[in-house]
Formats: sequence, C-alpha cells, structure tokens
Amino acid sequence: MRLSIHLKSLLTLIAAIFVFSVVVPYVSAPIPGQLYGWYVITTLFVIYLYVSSSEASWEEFISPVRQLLLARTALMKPLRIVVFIVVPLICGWYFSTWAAGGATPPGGLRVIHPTPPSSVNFQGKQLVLQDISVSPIREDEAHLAEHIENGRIIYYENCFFCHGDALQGKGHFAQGFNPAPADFQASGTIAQLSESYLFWRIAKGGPGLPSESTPWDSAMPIWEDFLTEEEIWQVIAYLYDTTGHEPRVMDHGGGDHGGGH
Amino acid sequence: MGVGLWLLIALLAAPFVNAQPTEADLEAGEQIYLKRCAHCHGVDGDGVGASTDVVYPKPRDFTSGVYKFRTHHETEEGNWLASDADIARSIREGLHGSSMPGWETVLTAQQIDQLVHYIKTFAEVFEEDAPGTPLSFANEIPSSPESIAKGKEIFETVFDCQICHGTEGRGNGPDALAGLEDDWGYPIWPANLTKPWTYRGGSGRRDIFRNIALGIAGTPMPPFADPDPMAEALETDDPEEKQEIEALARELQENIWHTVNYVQSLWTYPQEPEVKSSLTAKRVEGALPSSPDDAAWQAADINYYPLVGQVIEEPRLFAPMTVGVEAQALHNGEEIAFRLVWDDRTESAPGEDEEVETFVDAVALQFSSKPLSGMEKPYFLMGDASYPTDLWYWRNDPGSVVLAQAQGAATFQVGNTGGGLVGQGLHDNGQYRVVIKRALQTAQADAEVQFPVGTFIPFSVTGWDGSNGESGGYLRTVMAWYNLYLEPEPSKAPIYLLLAGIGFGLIVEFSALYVTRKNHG
Repeated sequence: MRLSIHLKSLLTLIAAIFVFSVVVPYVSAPIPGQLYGWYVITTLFVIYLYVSSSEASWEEFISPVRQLLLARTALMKPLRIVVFIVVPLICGWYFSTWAAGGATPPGGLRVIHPTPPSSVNFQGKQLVLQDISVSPIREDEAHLAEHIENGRIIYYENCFFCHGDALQGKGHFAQGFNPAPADFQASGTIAQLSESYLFWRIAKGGPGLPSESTPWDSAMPIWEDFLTEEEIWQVIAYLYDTTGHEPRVMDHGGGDHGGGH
Repeated sequence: MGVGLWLLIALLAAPFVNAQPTEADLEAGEQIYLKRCAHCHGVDGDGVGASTDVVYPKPRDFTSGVYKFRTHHETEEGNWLASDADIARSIREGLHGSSMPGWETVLTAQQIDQLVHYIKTFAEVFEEDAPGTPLSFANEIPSSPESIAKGKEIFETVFDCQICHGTEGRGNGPDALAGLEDDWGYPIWPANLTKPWTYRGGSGRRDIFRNIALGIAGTPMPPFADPDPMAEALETDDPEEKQEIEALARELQENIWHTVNYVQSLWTYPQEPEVKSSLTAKRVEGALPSSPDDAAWQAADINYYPLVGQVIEEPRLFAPMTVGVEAQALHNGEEIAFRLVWDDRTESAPGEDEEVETFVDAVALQFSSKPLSGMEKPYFLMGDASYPTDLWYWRNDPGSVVLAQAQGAATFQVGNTGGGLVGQGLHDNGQYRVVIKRALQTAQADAEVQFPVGTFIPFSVTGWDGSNGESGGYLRTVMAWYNLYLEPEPSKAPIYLLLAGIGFGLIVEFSALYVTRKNHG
C-alpha cells in the first residue's frame, strides 16, 4: 500500500514532535522553548525539501491546495469561503497571544562545573590543586577504610540534609534550594571530576563560585569554616566509595584526563 | 496416603519455614544495616547515631520493638506488633516529612526483607510474640458532603481528635499546645492534617484509616479500634450477641471511614505543590487590601514555597517546624501588597518556656536593596557588603513591620525604621496571615528595592518560629530566590496584533489565489 505524500509528511511531523517532546525529555532533559521551535522549523524544512524534490511529488502535494483555490466544483466553493475566513482569524489569534505571553523570566545559563582555581588558600595554608593528583589520604592505604568510615560520619552530620541518604541530592531540605543539591550517583557530577576539584567545591562552597555559576543562589556552605582538611578528604573518599564512581586523576601537566585508572 | 499427608504438611508449613530468615539473610541484613542505617539508628539499633542530634523526628530506637505503623491488632499478650510487610513498607517508602527516605530506589525487595529480619533481632518481643489479627478495611464509605459532615462531627465529638489536631487540623489543639511527648520523652507535635505530604505513614485512605484504627505506636496518637472489635464475636456462641458485636464493629468502621473523608477534606493541597519560578502580582484598580482576610485576595495568584532550615552558616537550624509559606501579591500601579500565609501551631510569647528560650514569631520578605542589572543578585542569605538586601520584617508584637537592611546574616538587626512599610497580621487557629504594603517607588531608588512594572524582581521569604528558638540572622527558615512579576497595564497592542495577523492571513491567501489563477486558471 502506498501512503499519500500528505500522510507521509504528517506522520513525519508527528514522529518528530513525539521525539522532541516525549523521547528526549525522557532520556535526558526537556528541550528549552526556543530551541524546540527551531527543531520543529528544521523538521518542516526537511519535509518541504522532500515534497519538492521532484516535479511529480510537488504536484501531488500542492494539487489539493490548488483545487481549493480554483474552486471548480460545487463542494469546493463554500469550503474556500470557510478557509478564507478561518485562516486569517487563526493568524490574528496567534499574533496577539504571542505578544501577550511575551514576558519570560530572566534565566541566564549557569555554568555547573566552572574551571577551578590553580590553588586555594585553606585556613591560611596554600594548597596547589594542580599538584594534588590524588587525595593525600589515598596514600595512607593502611587506614583508608577508617578514613572512609569517618567520612560517612561527617556526611551524616553535615551533608545528608541536602544531598540525601542515597547520595542522589534528595535530602529532606533539598526542595528548599535552587539550584538543587548535586546528585552524586549521576554520571555528570563527581564521576567527571577529580578529588582536588571536589576539595575546592567543598572547602569554598557556594560563595566561592565564579559569577558565571551564580554563587548568590548556591546553598552549598563554606565547609572550610566547619571541617578540617583531612575531614574534607575523608568525606570525598566516602562519596567515591559509596557511589562506586572513580575520581578523575590529574597528571602534573594540570589537565583533566578521563578514565580514572 | 502417608507420603501424601507428609507432603501436605510440608507444603502448608512452607511459608512459615521461609518466613524464618537464614543465617545468610541475617548477615546480609547486618551488612546493609551498617552501610545504610547505622549512622542514624545506631550500630546497636538504639536510635543513637551520628545524625541523631540534628534531625527531628528522632531516628527510631529498634531495641524497643515499637514501630509507628502496623496493620495488625494488639496481640493476646497485649503487644502492638508490626508485621514484616509493615516494616518493609516503612523502609521502602520512607517516613514522609521526616529524614527517613524511601529506600526503594537503592535497595532491592530482597535486601529490604533481609534488613527487616535483621532489625527485628534488636528487640526480643519479635521472638516471643507474633502480630495479631490483621486490620479489616471493610465497609468503606466513599467521600460525599454528607459523609464529610458526619466525619467532622465524629472528629470533634466522638473521637475528640481536635484536642490534639485542632479544629482546623493544623496540629494545634489544646493538648498539643500544653506539650506532648513520645514514649522516649522527646517533645512531639500532632500531625498538621492540612499537609498530607507530611503524613509520616502515607496519605492514602487506608493509611489514614489505619492510623485512626490502630493509633501510632510510641506516640500519643491512640487507637480507636484496638483490640480487634470483632474478637469477641468469634468467641461467643450466642447468635444474637454475635450479631450485636458485629453491628457495633461495623458502625465503628463506618465512623472511621467518615473521619477519613473529613480529614481528606482538610487538605490544602493533595500533595506538595511544585514550586513555580515566578509569582505574578496582578494589577487591580483602586485601593489594595490592608487586611489579610480581605476578599480581594481571592483574585490573586497563590504560590507555595517550601521553607527549610538555615543549615549553611553557623549557628544552623536543623529542626525547623515550618514547612512552607504561601505568597500572594497585588499592585495598583502605585502600591504593592503582599500576603503571606504559613502554619505555626504556637503563637510564641518570649519567656513562656523555662527550658527553651522563646522569641517572637516573625516573617520577612527579602529583596535586593540595589537595582540589579544582568544576572547578578545578592547572596540569598541576606546578601553581602556589595549586594545588601532589604528585609520587610513583620513581627507578632502586636504586628509591627519595619525595614531591616542586611549585608549578610551577621549584620542583621531589627531597628525601628519604618521604610514606608505598612503591615497587618494575625495568628488564627495555628496559622499566620500577614499583609505588608509599600509604594512601588521610593525616594531612595538606589538604596531600597523599587518595583518597576513588567519586570522580574528576585524575592524570597524567611521565617522565625519563636518557640522553636528561632531568631536573628541565622536561626530561621529560608527559601531560594524566586521571581516576582508585576503585571503591566493592559496595553492595546494585542488588538493591533490581532488585526495585523488577520491582514497577514488575507494577503497570503489572495496572493496564492492570484498566482494559482494566473498559472492554471
């Protein structure tokens, strides 16, 4: 059975809209409004290219419109009148609602993982982050289990209110903050970062972020004011141990290298 | 025959044999417990772990064998025992509104079962006794205005629920205000029935029925249908007596269902509302309402925002009592009025308690003191030296509103600067309702918040529950920045655009008609 070119075009458009509004939000995140519009326009353009690819297909596509415009049959005449009234009204309605709904809240893009500084001053001591390829407590292998255990206690005295028992960013205070607390189980947070990066983020907290990362919105405390250097390394070790993620390891060239091992 | 009989016995006994955990199950349960539970419930199951001091309600002490939620009647020994399924559900779904999360995203059903077996080993009672007869949920009455009215009557006169939960269900009844304790001597508040997402054991109809019928073990919530009202009917041989007992049991069940229907009618929202990023202040004609109970507020949008403890700067508030605030705003082109509504069981009076220092209840709206450009905003916790914040501070003594300007929590101080603010508020049956008004523009345009219409202005709300020891810049509930949008004057633009759209449509159509006729006509 051969599908008419109109049905084919319509099915393509429906399939594309289904992908944009259902599939993509399901596998990753909803597409922002403006981008969504561009995707739909691109799809329409592709359909146009397809129907106009040959004289015959264009003729098949356009002929019902032509029949309507020429209105040579008794049925087409009243239909033409209806279409000629309805289409301008739809245009008018679309133009006016588009203008009325013009107010959209400011929402600048927020950089989630900004570039870390090369060194931080931690409680008066200068730490060169680039030189810390792995957490110093990992060098103390004999006591690593104790460090992780201590990290767990620190986590439950300080972090779980927001980051949650399951380390998914769903603690009992999480809903009060915007941006939401980080989900450590997800692949896009600590799994992509080095331990020295986490040290910086924990030690300096929200107020230590650069302005492209909206430090004024972040509820992450400045943990330097609460915890010792060793305690921060311990809680970092606990996060990696519990989630099963491997920290990224920095070489002495300073760049991030994936792979972990 | 002999073999068949043995097989039958073995089959019948199978479920009971399986219900007995193996050594391996208990060991697996212990490992999960130490990894996932011990930091709150304690290595020995006594409810004393790393976070015990920083959460409310306190973690359960498993050595007591007392579990809040059960679906089985009192045993013949007089014990209130949760079944394995009851305990498994609490682990799976968590205790809502507490720091006990639902574990179903982390643990498998088998792991949860192993955990149940393990935590039962902390209490001897599970070795000595087994759960009683299961609770019957029969004779359910669907909700209707008549049933709700009946339920209200039972709530107030038969079960006497309002003595703790209050006449509007906000958990502020006279016994609650006098001070209740759980079985471990910790202070405890009755549920605020208007917020179903904070019902610890879930807000399903059967969950509410269960809590009324069997009470909440370890808390002052008593059972209203325990021991099993049908138990005596099973013992008697007299059919008349049996019928009588059954009729009474049915009436009790129906009364509980009426009460369930009434409790559900008290809900302000069926679940925790999603936070909207913008609050629209509608433009109205004439004077703005001064009173929080003015009917004019019905026309304004209502946004709900969760309030959480300030746990970012020391001293931290780990156990807030306020869970959220409703905000509304209206403007008339000259003035803006805000209405804030939040539940607080106590109208705190300083000095009312000898053990805990009590302060006056208060609320504040927060804005940037300076005009903002670009995306920068003040730090959401009262700003800093370069970006101070305006706090429109209303306190319940007896309802004065002042302007406080802060450059960080440490600098927060309440003086007596009016700042052109006018306020009115009241505490009514476990709820505060407050209105704060000001002119949209002031003379100090660079040092006080201004409200140009048609723009988005960051705002947030912060609260102080005085009887929870909350006061000052740190011990308070907080919320993130959200947008306030002042509706502009209705413009004539849409009408012109409507006409332009119609014109556009007509031009396209007649061009198409012209071209088609020319080529094919």
